[in-house]
Amino acid sequence: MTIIDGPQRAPRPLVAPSRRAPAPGEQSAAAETIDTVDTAEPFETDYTDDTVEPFESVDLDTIRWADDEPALGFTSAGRAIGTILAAFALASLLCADSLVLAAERQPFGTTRDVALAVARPLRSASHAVGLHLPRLWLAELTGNAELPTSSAGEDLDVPSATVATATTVEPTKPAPGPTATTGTTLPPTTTTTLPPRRTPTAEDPLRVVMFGDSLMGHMALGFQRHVTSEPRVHVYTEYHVGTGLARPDVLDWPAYLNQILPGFNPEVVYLAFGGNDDQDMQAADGSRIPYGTPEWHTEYTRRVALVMDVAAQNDRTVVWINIPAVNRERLNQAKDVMNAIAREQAALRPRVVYLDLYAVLSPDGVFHEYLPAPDGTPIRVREGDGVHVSIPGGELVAPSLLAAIATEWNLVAPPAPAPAPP
Amino acid sequence: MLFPTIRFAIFYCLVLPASWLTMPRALRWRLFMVAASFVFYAGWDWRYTFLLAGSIVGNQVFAIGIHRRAHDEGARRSWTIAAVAANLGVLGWYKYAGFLSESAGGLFSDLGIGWQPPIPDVVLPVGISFFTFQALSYVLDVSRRKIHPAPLLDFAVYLSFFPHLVAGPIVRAAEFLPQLHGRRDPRSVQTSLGLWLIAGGLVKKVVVATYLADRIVDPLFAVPAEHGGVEALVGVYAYAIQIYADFSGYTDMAIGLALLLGFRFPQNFDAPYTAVSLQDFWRRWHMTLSRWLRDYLYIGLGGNRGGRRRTYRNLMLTMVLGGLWHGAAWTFVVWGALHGGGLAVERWFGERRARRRGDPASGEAPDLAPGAPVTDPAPAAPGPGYGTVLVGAPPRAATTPAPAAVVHDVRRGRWLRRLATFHLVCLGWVFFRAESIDDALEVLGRIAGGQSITALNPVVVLVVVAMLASQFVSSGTVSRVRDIYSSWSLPAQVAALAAVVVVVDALGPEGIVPFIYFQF
Repeated sequence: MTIIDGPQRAPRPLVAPSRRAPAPGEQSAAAETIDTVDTAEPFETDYTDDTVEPFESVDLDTIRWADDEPALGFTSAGRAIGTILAAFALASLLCADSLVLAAERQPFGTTRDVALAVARPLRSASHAVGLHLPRLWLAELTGNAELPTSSAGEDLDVPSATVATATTVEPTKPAPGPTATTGTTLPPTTTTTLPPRRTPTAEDPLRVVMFGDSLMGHMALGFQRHVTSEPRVHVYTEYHVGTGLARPDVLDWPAYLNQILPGFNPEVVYLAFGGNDDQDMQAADGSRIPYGTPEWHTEYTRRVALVMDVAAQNDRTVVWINIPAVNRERLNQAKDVMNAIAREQAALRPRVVYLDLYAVLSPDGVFHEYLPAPDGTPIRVREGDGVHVSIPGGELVAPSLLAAIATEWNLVAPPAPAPAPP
Repeated sequence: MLFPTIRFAIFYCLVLPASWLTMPRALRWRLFMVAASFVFYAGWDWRYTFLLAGSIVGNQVFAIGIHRRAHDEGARRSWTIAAVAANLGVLGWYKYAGFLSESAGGLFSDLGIGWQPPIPDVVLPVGISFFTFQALSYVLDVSRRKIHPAPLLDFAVYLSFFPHLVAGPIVRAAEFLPQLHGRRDPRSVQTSLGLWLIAGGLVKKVVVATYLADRIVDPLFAVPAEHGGVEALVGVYAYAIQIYADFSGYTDMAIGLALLLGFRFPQNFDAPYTAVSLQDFWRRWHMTLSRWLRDYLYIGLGGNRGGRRRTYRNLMLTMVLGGLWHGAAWTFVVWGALHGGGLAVERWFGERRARRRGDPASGEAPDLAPGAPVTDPAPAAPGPGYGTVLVGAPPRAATTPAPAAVVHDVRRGRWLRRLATFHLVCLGWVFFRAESIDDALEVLGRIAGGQSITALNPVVVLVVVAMLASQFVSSGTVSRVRDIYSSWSLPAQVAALAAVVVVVDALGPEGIVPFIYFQF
């Protein structure tokens, strides 16, 4: 490129690192020399002079380089490279636990194998000399401790919540289009006779928790907003990005829920999983279970059943939110399989409700990023990634989520008026 | 590939030495850097490397086409319009196609036409706004005869250079391409500053921004009704810090990474919350975008050449369009209108003051002459962490000392203006962050209602106060700290850098939190 010369201005430097580290008393000299390119605009002078308001000058002479501040610290490139590489090596030892975790989170394959082959010896070396301790101490101090993981899912001793009958809830909005794309072929089921639930009040609200992968994120927020005006419902939400049932080595959800649910003593548990589960799994013996095989189907079914049983303990209501149509081909096919498994397993458990979001988010069976609001204006119900529900989408879904438990938990009728003071 | 990831750390540890090793051979270095930048971009989604390549080739064709029609102003103008239309068309397709398609479907439905235009299966490519804006600046500068077209390979290095590829700063061709001509000096690399920017950027981006988002900002804007007035106010302040830490942290890293490769980038943030007016704020916030908007949108609309009303209109249009660039939502329109209106009002007051003083010129920003300092020239103006000394800035003239009472009034006035500006900017951030106008009004309603504190987290307050206070630390102090670091031995420097990584790793979130501006 050639910067067009201008006759009216003195040449000014555009590139200014000095060729050597300046002494403390001569820093200003470091910002001079090398290229001297005139940047005047002979054809533009009057124009730019007249229109620089309200911002700063348009002239390149007034560029504020990020490194204009004179300072020490000029070194050779070799020293810069050495510092970076040495710091990277030391940080790898100090953070070796994180490196192993990050490697384990990779999809199964060569990249993961190579990453683990590098990270595990680093972790061994780090633990041998205690270099991992500062990071561990800091993480524990700030409550940023790691979540439970296991290679193939911890073998939990949880009673099965299955019986021969089932509960299936259709969404509140009638489905004008086909919903067969969910891949389910189960016949409609009937509700078994179960003991009635208590009636929540504002003083003793229904204790609801919502857990899942990132799919749960905005749905939970939408639900929270929806029940803001419903004092009979108290909600706790927690979701973990990049997790699911396929990878207990990233987060063992059944073990985690089994560990923390008693602390919340919830009466209703909403679950949403599957956004990252279209991948291979690892069996208890360490072997790979390729995605799409009958073995994968069997193992994923086992994990869905386990997490439902964990959540349904103590006679809790469990609402399994299915995966609506997504705009990613592989996941869109996988979700049909995962939805079918969840629906089958829910059908075997009387306290587990399978909530189908298709009628709300995919009324004609296909993905929609925008949908008309009740007043007809389009609202963006899905995120740009083609997978996640947006916050407005979460709000659109929220009535269906509440409706899934409203009858069972006596929330259909408005709360009884407070007794008049004597 | 995002900066705060292990994958990028490995990538950079390979690219940095390779870049310096190939530097002596200009052609080899250019080919290497383009390849490295494409690998960097492919780390996100390899299919979109074709989009980047298309932008490089397409804009080079436009630039040469414009340049070759030196004596045919009509053809030159047509080529320029085609270039702008093509760039904005691609950008608009990715940003607004879904919205327009669904809206058209709704319109057809209202008209009784049962046809839904196909909804494109597109994902917004990371950084498309940034490299499109850079490409536009190149083509428009050629069109305005400010520069000649560069060789294709140089232009490819410029547009795809990985430090600024996905999130800026928006570096102009005239700033970057001359640096390709002179070989970078391997004996003089700004290592200390580069490392400082990378480490500081990591902490701001991964620790501060994420912490505030998790602990107060996201919950507040998700369910405003569950937050008391004081908590909502702190939440809004926290968002002001979050978006600053997130954005400036990322661009600090970009600047630092480029410095270690031997390249200088323009400054992008300059302690924006110390601004004493909105005009001052836009000189300090995302400086490379604001000058882009000024040079290619505001001036393109006519700038201040059409009289007072047209100037106000152009200010408003520039900021509203700038707002709409963030997304097709009324919240962004309000944000833009707030800033556009604020700038217009400030200008009107400035002109009125000037008229009263009988000095018509003084309302025309006398500090904006070429070569003059563009920072607030007032004495004792706080500086950012770096970069307040300007190339070519004349020394401040000695002035007669003012009486103490006058100095006190001036200082008090400056603090009042600073406070007012900060709160006006925060008001804009409420609309910028909220999902809808109703949500924004609810947040503001909570603040105005003054409900009691519900669950104010003292650590959040501490972080907000500390980050605000850090903007008032003088650049000299920061320089001295950096100089102390520079004087350390290599092992000490390495240990300090590794310690920062440990802090970031231990306090950062699980997984990777995307950068706020990726969505734009």
